[in-house]
Amino acid sequence: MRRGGRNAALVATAALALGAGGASAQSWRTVTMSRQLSGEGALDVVVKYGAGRLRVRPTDDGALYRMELRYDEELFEPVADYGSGTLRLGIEGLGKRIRVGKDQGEGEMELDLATGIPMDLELDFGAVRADIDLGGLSMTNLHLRTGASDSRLDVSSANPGVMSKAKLEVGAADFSARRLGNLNARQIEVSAGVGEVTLELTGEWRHDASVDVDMGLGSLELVFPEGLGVKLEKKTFLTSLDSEGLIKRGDAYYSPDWDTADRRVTVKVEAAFGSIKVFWVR
Amino acid sequence: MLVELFRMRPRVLAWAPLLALLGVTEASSQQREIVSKQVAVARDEASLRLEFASGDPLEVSLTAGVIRVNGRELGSSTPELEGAWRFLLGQAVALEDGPLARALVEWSPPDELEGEALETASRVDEALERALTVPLLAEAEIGGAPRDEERAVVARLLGRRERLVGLAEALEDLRLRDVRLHVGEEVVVAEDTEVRATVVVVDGNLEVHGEVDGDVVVVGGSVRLHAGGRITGDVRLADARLYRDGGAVEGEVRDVEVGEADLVDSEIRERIRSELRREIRDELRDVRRAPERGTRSFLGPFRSLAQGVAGVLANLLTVLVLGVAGGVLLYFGGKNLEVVAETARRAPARAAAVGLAGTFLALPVWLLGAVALAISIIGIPVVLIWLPLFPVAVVLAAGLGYYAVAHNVGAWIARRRYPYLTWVRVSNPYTLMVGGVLGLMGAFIVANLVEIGGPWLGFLEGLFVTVGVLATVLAVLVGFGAVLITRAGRRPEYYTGIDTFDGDWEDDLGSAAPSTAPGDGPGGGGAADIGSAAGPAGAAKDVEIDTEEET
Repeated sequence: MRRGGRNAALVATAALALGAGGASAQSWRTVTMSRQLSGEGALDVVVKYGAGRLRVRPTDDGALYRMELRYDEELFEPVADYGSGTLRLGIEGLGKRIRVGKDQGEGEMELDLATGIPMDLELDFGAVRADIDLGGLSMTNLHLRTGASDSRLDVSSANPGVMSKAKLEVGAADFSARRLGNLNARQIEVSAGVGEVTLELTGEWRHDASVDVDMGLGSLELVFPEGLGVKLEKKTFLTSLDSEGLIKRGDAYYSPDWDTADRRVTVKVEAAFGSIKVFWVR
Repeated sequence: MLVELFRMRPRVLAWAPLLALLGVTEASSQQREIVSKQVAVARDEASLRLEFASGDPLEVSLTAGVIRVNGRELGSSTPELEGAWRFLLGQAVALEDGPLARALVEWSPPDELEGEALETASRVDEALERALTVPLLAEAEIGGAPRDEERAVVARLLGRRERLVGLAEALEDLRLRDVRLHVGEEVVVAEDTEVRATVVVVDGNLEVHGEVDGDVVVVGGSVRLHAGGRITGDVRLADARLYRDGGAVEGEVRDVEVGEADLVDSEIRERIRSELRREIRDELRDVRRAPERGTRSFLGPFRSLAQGVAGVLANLLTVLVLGVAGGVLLYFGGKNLEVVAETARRAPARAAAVGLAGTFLALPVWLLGAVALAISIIGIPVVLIWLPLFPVAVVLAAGLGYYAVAHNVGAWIARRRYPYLTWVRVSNPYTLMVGGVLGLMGAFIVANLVEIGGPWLGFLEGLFVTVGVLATVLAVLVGFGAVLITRAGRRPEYYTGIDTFDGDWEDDLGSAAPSTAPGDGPGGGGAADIGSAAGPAGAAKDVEIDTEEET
């Protein structure tokens, strides 16, 4: 599963190793960390990453985690603490001022997390371009926070565990989340400041759920799969609604098959200054 | 006899050489289990850090041309050695556990090395092999252990006084034969191997793939029974754990209770001390970094979000309060306000110039007026009124002027018919007032919305705040000037009384006509008098703020 990535990492590291003498204005450091599974029980996993490019993937090759980092060691230091049922990964700043200039490169973090370990997952990003796939991870809770980021969240396969709550906090961001049904969450909370947010409520819904969206300024796109019973409630101020495929009954909007659908999702949107658009996919 | 020996307190263990009777062998080796790996490469660094299942680490670093193993300097590097080491790390990135250990053990110095570089590389090679291999127990090697090794085992055991009590308890009632003692080691009974002995492991882990024909005692560590692994005797565990990965214990498994007083011994105290030291260090570091984190914390955007939202709410509240105050002003002084507004609209440049001059002259006039009054006997009592009332009058004039300009801005917004702002209607002067104030403060609200975006947009936020300040100052200057020109709206300098706003407000008024009551509003005047076109009652009906727009 990860062979391609590992080979790429090997080539990259070897290239860096052989070319280590090359001049660079910054002190880039490349670190690869991993830990093998050893009968872990439930874990609290905290991932923090300030700025750069981030990729998170699931893995089932026997590693609890595998992390590849490239960062400016004058400004950051890696974090990989494991113990007392908590795993902390990422980088943290050293408190120095971050330079801005033409030679400012971009840090990178690639993280593989083990499937099969029940985990409360907390992802905390700053100004990051993030590509996150949580498919197959056994999550009991999810808390994702982003700053001014361009983030893509995908749940490519179903969560084998049951998630009590997924909380997504988005700052000024272009944020999209796909296949949220695969989270197997009974409650999903999305809080967004400014930006464009796309929530695809596709995937495998195993039970009824509620999705609460709190938007500041920006556009919200809601994508529903056909066959899912949808109820949309909104409290908005200066916000337009394109409620395609929904029928207004009383104060709420319903999908035509709401009364007969196997799975029902209630979406509550609070928004100011923006737009809400509804799309349907097969 | 051994049981009695282990029961004795450490001072009695001065008889330690007797322990040399125990068999200690090291026949062949197997790679240790690696649970954690870290490879770091930078311009002047190439380091490897491993953590073994037993918890102990191995760190080999090449930093600034110096090679160290677990902090101990082995020698200087050369470009050839550094290249070979970096190449090995390049391989290590893609390997885990067994294959990684094998690759590191099999590594050997490059052929082209010579002299000091070769010696250093050989030391690295030796250190890797020593750290990555564990002794394998085999039946064939029972007995005949070198005396140096025996002494070392005894020394290691005596160095662990806190384990001796647990060991004595664990050995209680056990029929000992051919005791094999290992202290601080990883021990493996390989597959297809039979060990006929009592295996004692102190502060180490025992991996059983083959068979132990005897008892097993582990103090401070673990026993892992792999598939096919078998222990024919009992297993005694003191501060240790048994993992069954498919293997079997034919005898009894017993956890040996060690007295609390014994457990809280030097090792535990040392652990607590280390933990406390680490906690205190972390706390101190957090305290030192706290002020810096204030601006660059990962939570920064959410702090900005909260501040921005609070700012928006505060500004909207300000608009509401100012709008209500403007409405009151409109109700009681609509005519004067209209005259001032018309003057500001028709002669904004003149009004601004007068306002600017008035602002600069206000203080001298106030002072000179006070002096002039003070030098006359009649004026002295007037000074007492002049001194407090003049500044109040200036402030009120500025406020009246601001509202007059806000009124004009509201009319401008109404004529533009902006989406979401259609509630601002020319036919309703109260909505004009609120809309105008909203327009003048719009830049501040936008600045708050930008602030929600996070600290990265600080420049843009500052720009909007500047625009807001300029708009406010300009409005006050123009309005103040218009107030001075019209003598607070009592002199209709530019006011014609008809067609006040030359847009299409009549249509608007027409559409709102059923809900308005022209003529006798509190502002007085005729049908074209905006102040009276929609009195408070009419306004109450007509103010319909559409908070949503649906497509």
